[in-house]
Amino acid sequence: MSGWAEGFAVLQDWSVLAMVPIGVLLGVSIGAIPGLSATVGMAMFLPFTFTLDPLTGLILLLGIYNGACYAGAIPAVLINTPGTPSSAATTLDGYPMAQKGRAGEALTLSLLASVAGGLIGTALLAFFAPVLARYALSFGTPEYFAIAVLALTIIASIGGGQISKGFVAAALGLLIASVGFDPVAGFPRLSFGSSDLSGGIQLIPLLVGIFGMAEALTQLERAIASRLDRREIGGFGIGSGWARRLLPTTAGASMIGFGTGMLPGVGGDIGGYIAYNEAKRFGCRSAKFGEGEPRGVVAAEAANNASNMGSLVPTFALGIPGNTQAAVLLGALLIAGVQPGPGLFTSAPELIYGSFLGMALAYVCLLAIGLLGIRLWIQVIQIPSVYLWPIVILFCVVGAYAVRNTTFDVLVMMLAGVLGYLMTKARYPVAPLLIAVIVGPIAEENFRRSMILHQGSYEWLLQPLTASILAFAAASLVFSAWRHRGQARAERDVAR
Amino acid sequence: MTTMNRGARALCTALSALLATTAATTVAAQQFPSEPIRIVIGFAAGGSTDTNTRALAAAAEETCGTEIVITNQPGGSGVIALETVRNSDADGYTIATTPTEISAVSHMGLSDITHEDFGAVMRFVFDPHGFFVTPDSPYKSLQDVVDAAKGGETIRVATSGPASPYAITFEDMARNTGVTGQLVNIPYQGDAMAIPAALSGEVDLLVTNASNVVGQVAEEALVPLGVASDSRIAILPDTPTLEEQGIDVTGGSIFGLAVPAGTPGDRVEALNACFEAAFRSDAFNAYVEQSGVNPAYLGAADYDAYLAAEYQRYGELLEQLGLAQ
Amino acid sequence: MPLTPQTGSVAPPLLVILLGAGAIWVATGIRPGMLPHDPGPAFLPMAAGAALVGLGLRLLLAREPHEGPPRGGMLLRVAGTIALTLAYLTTLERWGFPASTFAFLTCQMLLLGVRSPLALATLPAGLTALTYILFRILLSVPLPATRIGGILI
Repeated sequence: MSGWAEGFAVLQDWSVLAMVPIGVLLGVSIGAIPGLSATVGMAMFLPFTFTLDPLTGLILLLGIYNGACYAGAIPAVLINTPGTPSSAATTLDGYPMAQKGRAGEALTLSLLASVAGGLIGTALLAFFAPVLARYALSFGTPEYFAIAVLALTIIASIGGGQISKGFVAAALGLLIASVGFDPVAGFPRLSFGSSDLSGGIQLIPLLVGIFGMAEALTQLERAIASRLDRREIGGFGIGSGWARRLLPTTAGASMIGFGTGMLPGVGGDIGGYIAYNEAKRFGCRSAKFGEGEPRGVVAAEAANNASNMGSLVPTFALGIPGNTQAAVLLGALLIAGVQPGPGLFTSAPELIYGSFLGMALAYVCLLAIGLLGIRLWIQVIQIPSVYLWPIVILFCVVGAYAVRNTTFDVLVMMLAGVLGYLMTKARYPVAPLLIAVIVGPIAEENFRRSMILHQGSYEWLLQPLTASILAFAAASLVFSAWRHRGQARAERDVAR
Repeated sequence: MTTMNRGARALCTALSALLATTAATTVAAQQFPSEPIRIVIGFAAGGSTDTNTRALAAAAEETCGTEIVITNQPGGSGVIALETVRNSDADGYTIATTPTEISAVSHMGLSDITHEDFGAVMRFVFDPHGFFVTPDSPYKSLQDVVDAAKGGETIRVATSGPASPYAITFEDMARNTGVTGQLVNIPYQGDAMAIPAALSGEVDLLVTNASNVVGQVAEEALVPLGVASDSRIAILPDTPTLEEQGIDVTGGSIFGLAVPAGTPGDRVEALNACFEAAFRSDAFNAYVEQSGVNPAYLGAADYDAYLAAEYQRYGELLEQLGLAQ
Repeated sequence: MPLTPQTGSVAPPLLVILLGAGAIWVATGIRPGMLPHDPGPAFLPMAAGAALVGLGLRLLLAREPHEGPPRGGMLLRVAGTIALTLAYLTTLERWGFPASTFAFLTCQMLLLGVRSPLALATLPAGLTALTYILFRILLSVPLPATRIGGILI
């Protein structure tokens, strides 16, 4: 327990403490802008940390990390555009809530869920990191494949409308994911000789286009009559009854998010979708997921923030980055002369426990900044359409450009926007496409590597852990098909 | 009236200030560098190329006396970034990091880019590839690995794909020792996936840059069997080179800087001078010490010659390994 | 020609089938992997293509009402926005960020029916300046720059 005391002692320095709000504020600004992700933000401020002492620099980067993860929900709720990939699942119910005049409530919920998920995640990380890291190592290639399949089965349940349309979107996503260097053989495919295409379709331009640009096109189509429209924003309170009812969702989603985040290469985007799906599965009959259900927002945001903390488990305990942001953190640790690994907990307790306390503080700080800020950024939807959507397009362009500084990515963003617009018009859901783009490569790579590892035999599918995850995925698929039919029948009965 | 005057005066001041800066920039344009320098990195933020380059660039902002803007353009084994720089103005303001792959991609039919499209500025780090096992592995040396393979055992080796520099070094090693068929290449998407696979025993042998696993080696979670460099390296002083173990193979990851071909010689010289100063700075030395990378400076002319030699070497090697296209 | 609900619903499934068939055709030309027992690089695009063809056929048989493409002023706004964004991205590197952003915002607002001289005079310029300060100066995100009169902006 002396580690905590040492961590507490170093945090009493003002220059260290001051980094908490600075980092969180930077993170919130970066995360709220679609296209600028936490990775880019942290990499930008990495050289700046060279001049600081290790803990101060680390606290700054962790503040950006936590702030950006939360702030991704702001544009997800307000303009149907996730600010960072992690908040993709937040759009599913957050935006419908805003459209129904409950934007204030949705923003408050996403803030509270982020903070709760983040604090639960921080606690799990602080107390169980070394044990959990060893557990995460038992996930080998076959298990990764099974997890990816599980994530893909969500498509059947969140599509809405016709299931086959969701599958079309997913197949399209797999095709988009195939473009570029093959993850196993290392040669370009579907690149048609273009060097830009051989680099693959980047996730962020696609995400910004298919949500932000597409939403702008959809809105502009009918903007003319309502030049000076004012949208309802609703109250900011959520009511004490809801707080109690949302508690189980928050706790469950945080556990799911943390668990998925621990696996290197599986990020908050996937964690958010899985938690959303589980919340929907366990949700009561009255819950209307996809139409502005508060539980949906809470599940997605609690999960992605907890997932962010989960990604730090292999980083601190094994010295392996759990995601790209963790890779930047690892770089900062190395540059600060700290060797991550199990020994870190004993060799540099002040740094480890100091950063755990710092992260908890960052979430408290985030709560304060968020509660003050919500009233400010909700003004975004008060801007008249004819001004708002051109600004959204401008931000989409800059966001897509900022990823790699190529206009090719801006073109990808624009084409994704047109695709998303057309899909919405033809009532094809876009979320399955995105899930396939994110999860497809993980499924493919691990399937092919399993085949190589087991020399062409399919025996690996029967390994206990792999088989049970796959069985769970199959059950989930059957369950959503059954539920879907029940729903369709109920709707027919009502129509009659 | 007075407000008007004040407004007019403010405008005048602003205009003259603007004119002054314009004049200053035109004068400064004679000196190089006077504008921000852009470095285009072919790999994602947080990777070894990114971290090494950012550490150098942080020091170079002072030694070059200008802002340095870093751009990450990951994709296609670093080819995307190289294309960007090849197509930029040859004015010295756009710099590429030269990945090891620059010597290999054209031989493998992945791109038409070669070192000839660039003028070298300098090499600053050479990280040799190492071979690693877990402490409970039956292999205590590379000879054990070779013996086991000759005895008919299949040994799984984690790399970053069949076209990656790690794979080329390991295939070269297998060919050198005559056990090509027994060493199976298991491709992972980068070290973040390959290191856990090695730790959990999914693979028998890991090939990676020594600096990537300093932590795991210090914790005794991984044991180095050999490094593919000419001589032993500072962070693994007790680990023999491959050559010491009778295997004539060297290979590593190269970290260097280059500008588009045709950049004026005086600008290349200026860049080389200020980046060399950054390389020799205390800040960068502290980074080297802490991160465990292997500093290996080569000046512009030497690095040009080195890249040409590497291009030749990889061509022959890939031909022999059947990887050339 | 006004599209009836039935004709409207045929186009998307047909596109899906065509795309799937195209993907299968392109995937047959992919260079095979060289690792033993690897299902190969063509496996995923081939499977996705086959799925698209199958699902497209299914959707073609189960036609559903469809709202049809936008017409008139709606079409003009959507097509105009796409065209302006395209123009914006092509001028981005040639004119630099400030000039092209200013031009884009002005044109886009005109397209959407903003006619107030005050708004047109202040908003595009103000927003351009604000985003430039936010991205380039506060967050130091590299933006496309060009030389105007010897100055790099």
